[in-house]
Amino acid sequence: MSLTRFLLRRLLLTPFVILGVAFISFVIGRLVVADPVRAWIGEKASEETAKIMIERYHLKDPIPISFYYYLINLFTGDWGVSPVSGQPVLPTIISRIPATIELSLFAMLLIIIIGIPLGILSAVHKEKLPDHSSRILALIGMSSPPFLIALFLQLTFYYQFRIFPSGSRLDPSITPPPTLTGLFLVDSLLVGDLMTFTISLKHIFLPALTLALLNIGTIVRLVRSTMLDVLDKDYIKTARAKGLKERVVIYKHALRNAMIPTTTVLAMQLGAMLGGSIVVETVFGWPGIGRFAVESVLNLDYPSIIGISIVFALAVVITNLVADLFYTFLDPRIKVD
Amino acid sequence: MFNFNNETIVTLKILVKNKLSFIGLIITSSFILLSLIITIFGYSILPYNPIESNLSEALLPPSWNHPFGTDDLGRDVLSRIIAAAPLDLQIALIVVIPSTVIGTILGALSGYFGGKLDEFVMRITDIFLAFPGLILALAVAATLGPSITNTMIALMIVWWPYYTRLARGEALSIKENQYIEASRAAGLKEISIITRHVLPNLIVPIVVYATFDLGRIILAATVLSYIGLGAQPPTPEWGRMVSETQGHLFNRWWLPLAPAATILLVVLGFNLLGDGLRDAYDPKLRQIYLAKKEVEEGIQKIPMKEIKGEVLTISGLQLIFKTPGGIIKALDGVNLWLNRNEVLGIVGESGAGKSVLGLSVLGLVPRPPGKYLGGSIKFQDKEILSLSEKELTNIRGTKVSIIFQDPSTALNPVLTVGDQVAEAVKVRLKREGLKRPSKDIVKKEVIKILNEVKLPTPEMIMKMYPHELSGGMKQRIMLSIALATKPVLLIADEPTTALDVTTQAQILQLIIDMMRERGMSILYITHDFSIIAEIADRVVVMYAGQVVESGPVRSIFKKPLHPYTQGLLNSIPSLSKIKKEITPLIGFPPSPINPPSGCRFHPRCPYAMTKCSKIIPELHEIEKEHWVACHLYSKEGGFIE
Amino acid sequence: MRKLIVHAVDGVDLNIVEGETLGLVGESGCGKSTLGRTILMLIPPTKGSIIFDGKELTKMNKEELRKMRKYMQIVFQDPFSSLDPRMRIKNQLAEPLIACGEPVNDAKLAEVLEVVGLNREHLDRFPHEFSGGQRQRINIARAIITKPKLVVLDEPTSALDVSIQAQVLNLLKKLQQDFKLTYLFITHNINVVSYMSDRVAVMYLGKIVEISDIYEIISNPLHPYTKILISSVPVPDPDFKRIREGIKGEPPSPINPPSGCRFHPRCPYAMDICKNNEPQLISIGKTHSVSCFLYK
Repeated sequence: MSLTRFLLRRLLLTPFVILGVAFISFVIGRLVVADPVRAWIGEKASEETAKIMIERYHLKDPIPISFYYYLINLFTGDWGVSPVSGQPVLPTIISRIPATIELSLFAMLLIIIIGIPLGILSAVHKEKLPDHSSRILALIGMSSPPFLIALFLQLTFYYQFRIFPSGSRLDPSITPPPTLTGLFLVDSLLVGDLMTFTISLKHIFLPALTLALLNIGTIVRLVRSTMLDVLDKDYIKTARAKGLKERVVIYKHALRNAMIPTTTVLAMQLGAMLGGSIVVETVFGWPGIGRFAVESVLNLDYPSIIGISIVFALAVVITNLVADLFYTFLDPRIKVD
Repeated sequence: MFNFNNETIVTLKILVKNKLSFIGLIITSSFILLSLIITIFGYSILPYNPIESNLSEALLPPSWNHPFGTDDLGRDVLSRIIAAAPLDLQIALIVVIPSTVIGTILGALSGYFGGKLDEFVMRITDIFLAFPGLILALAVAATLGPSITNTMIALMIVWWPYYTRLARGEALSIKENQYIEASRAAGLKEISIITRHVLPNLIVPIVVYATFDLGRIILAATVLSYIGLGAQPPTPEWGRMVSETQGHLFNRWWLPLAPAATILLVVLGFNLLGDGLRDAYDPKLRQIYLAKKEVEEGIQKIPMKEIKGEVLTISGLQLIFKTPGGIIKALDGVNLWLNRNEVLGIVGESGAGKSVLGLSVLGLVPRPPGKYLGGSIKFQDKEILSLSEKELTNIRGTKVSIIFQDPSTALNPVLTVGDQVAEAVKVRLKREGLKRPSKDIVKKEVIKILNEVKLPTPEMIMKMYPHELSGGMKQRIMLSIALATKPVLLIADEPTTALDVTTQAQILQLIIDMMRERGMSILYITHDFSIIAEIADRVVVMYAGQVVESGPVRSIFKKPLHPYTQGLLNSIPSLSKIKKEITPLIGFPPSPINPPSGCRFHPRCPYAMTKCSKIIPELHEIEKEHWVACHLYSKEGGFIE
Repeated sequence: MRKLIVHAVDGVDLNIVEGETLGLVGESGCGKSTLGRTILMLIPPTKGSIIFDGKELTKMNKEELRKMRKYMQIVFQDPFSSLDPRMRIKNQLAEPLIACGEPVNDAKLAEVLEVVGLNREHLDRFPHEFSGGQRQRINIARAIITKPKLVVLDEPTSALDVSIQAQVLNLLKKLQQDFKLTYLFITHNINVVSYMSDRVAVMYLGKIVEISDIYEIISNPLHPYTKILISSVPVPDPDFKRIREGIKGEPPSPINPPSGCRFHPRCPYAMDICKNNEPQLISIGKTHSVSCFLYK
């Protein structure tokens, strides 16, 4: 009972938060802007188009009513039309999401593969070389502006060593794999197209590495400090006193406990990454939603801005929910009421 | 409230001592200083004007005149970098200060009072936090128009919820402290409690977080400028400088990378400083710096007494711990012996070293920071101190077992108790030759041993997690783990201290029964003389890392020889002698870093002589089996009853 | 959402006579700490009355209650978390005086510190500079500075070393004599309570099962739980002959207490009546009350 109840309760709260986010973006778009109507339909639209839009989206009504209709449209899939591109907002957003998801997932993979073992090493060899080097790596990652790492990697591995390409998801001459998941790496593997897979891999590596380096510091430090905490506990002494091999003590007893807060943070980081990949996508020309956000903002494309905000908020809320679920799964002490 | 002379000086001292935080301090102070200078004196103080174009000097490579070259408008990059310093500092301060103030007050009130206020504040905070910060900042900044002021407003809107959440969390944990309840019991009004206790205790974590935040805000501000929303040309700003010169990355990499690296340097400074501050305010570390620096004595040579025990012989054992606050003399020359089928009670107060003694027998004392300076631990003719980790693993859990004081922390919370008992069983089965015991065999053995420790319904209990069991049941599980490997020696480190009296009696009886059935020897460590009276055959009394008296249990109780033992026995209330006067020992237990010279007990001893402060007494056998380390029983001291 | 109600203290009738030390013993979860706090109205009782010095505490408003606190104080168990690490000793000692509006001066603060065996230099120090025993003395000083009538002592020496415990216990006795204090001494340690108390009340799962003077309770315990409790206590005498009464089963949960007499599932003498009916406290002899169907 506990798990379903927990899920239900969180799912009930979720729309409330999304609503709040939507409302705030909406209000910004209406109150703060000089001409709210033009903000929605763009400078170039004709008078007739203007009339239709005002009618359809209730643009001249007071905010609560206008927002109400906006929500209704939202649920029917009509997220407005971009005054800049003339395209409906929702399909545009949907077409740009997979690129960002693929980038974030790959970065997360790198963080897990590199970060967690590094954290364990730092804890087990405290104050020695692995610890110091991981600390430096973490500090640099946490203190760098994203464009520094992005540009530096581009300079070194594209320009200097010509190992990786400078941007975009594929070479212009290659056709993308059929859209099964929207993730090029997965899709190309699923149809057995190894060449496209390799090329996609080459293209995704640098931007994903950048994203990973920016966020890896937090994970390494977290794993290190939780492992140190755990290794100090009495139950580790008990495990050693039983005569268990040190390897078993570290992995079966210590790591399992240290992973509990770590997976939670990893899940939250994923949500944050979805929104924080803006600069990375811009530098590497990655056609994801981060870049779309920047374009919309610079073009003052309000319907798109609001739509993107909602999507980002959803991503954060969902990943937070997953993070909490992880916690309850991994820690038998947490009884969900 | 916060004391501004002594405490702040100590903090600064700690910061300077720590190399990394010192670097952070240098970087951030230089940054702030430079910004102040630019703000006061303007651009005139720079070698080159950062705003004026000078096209004849465009795109020059780095040189002595222009360490970072010039940009496409001929402006000296280094001067522009320096000129840009005050901007981001300004943004950071203007965003941090209101966010801190608003967030802290809101979060503190919300966390402290809870209830509807808390619900409401948390919902609002959740909504703001659900917005990935940068997007919200972008949206606001774009809407308001690109400018520095609007960047600040945008960032302020994004930032305050983090402080609210932080302050709330801290307030919640501060609330749990008994001093809050004490103030309430004293009759203080809630608002006084908040201003006197909650807010001052919040300041440190908030300040540490804010220090890191100054760096984070600078990062965010530079990203906004990079995108085009912050400072507008020609005002120099680091993020903007990067985006303007990005096109030159491949043939003039210094142009975008120099300002980018500057950002890294400044933010690094704040992160290092924040780390340093957090460590400086860590109560444990602070304690060490605040403790008066003791003069370090040389380690005295402790007299060794090797009496061979059938099972265990410890002679002249010296163990120190190297800590930043000094060298802790945990064991200062311990001599004891244990025979077959006997219970040796080790009694002493905190700091006597009894727990590390138990751990030492199993080689479980971490080294570093521990270090054995001398002595030996001989278990069945093996010298424990010189065994390798692999050899120790062989002895642990097969010949020697240990149970700890608090079963709640001694059991792994994420594994079932059945799994944890099974591990011990498997170790024994492997030793007996069964390389890969089947699950059924293991399960049978686990149930068998759970029955032996009188746990009801072992099949069900096996699948449970430690937190689902009571204290008594958990301790039985610990016992079953210790006994599953059929040890020759059981070390019991205060196993009943954390239990209720009635449960304690049950567990004590269980231990006695198990010992009789299996013919083990037990090293029973406790601070409670009453338990010693019940369970021990012989007793060892420890004080300040040394053995001061040792003998059969009746001798110790009826005729205690050492003044410490006498004093201790006189100060214990007992229901067998209600209202009998108890005469406390004077003084306090000695500091393990700088114990008294000579006999450690002499400052508290009513019979102390001059010799006592100079020479450490040796253990002498005064009556049959009854040994004492005290100068009263030497030729000069005469015999004191 | 279903609210979980913990039956901490349930229908407790208790009298404390002026000048006496009433000991309150029981094991973990019996509610003795909760009772101590409820008596001082730190936890508002769900029902019932608390009459202190002739005044009904449960009917007072916040202000009146605050003013009463001058006369009823408490010393907590943990010497470490009961003092604010960031506040000097003198400011913490001054709080009860501030709360009841009395003037604060250094002389008063120094005097109370000296009474508990510390000295005036300690006023300007911070808690971390003191040992556990010294901190407990500071807590005691804070509790008596307003010259209260009643002091609730909630396990005041449980966290201290044996040799320090004796010092603090004797200090408490002396203070009681000098200042005419009344103590409610809460502890799980039977040996300590026998040293300190005139009368003792035994609690089990939120109920008082027996009250008597200390000699009676030790030599002639009536309630089966008290018998088991007394016989379980180890005594620092290897020759002390004891007959241990065994207790069955595990301590029950205060969230879901057994029906009828709360002790019946573990009682060696349980009868049918015990399962469905709750016994009341009845007097046996002058000072002895017990709550058990074995006695009529």
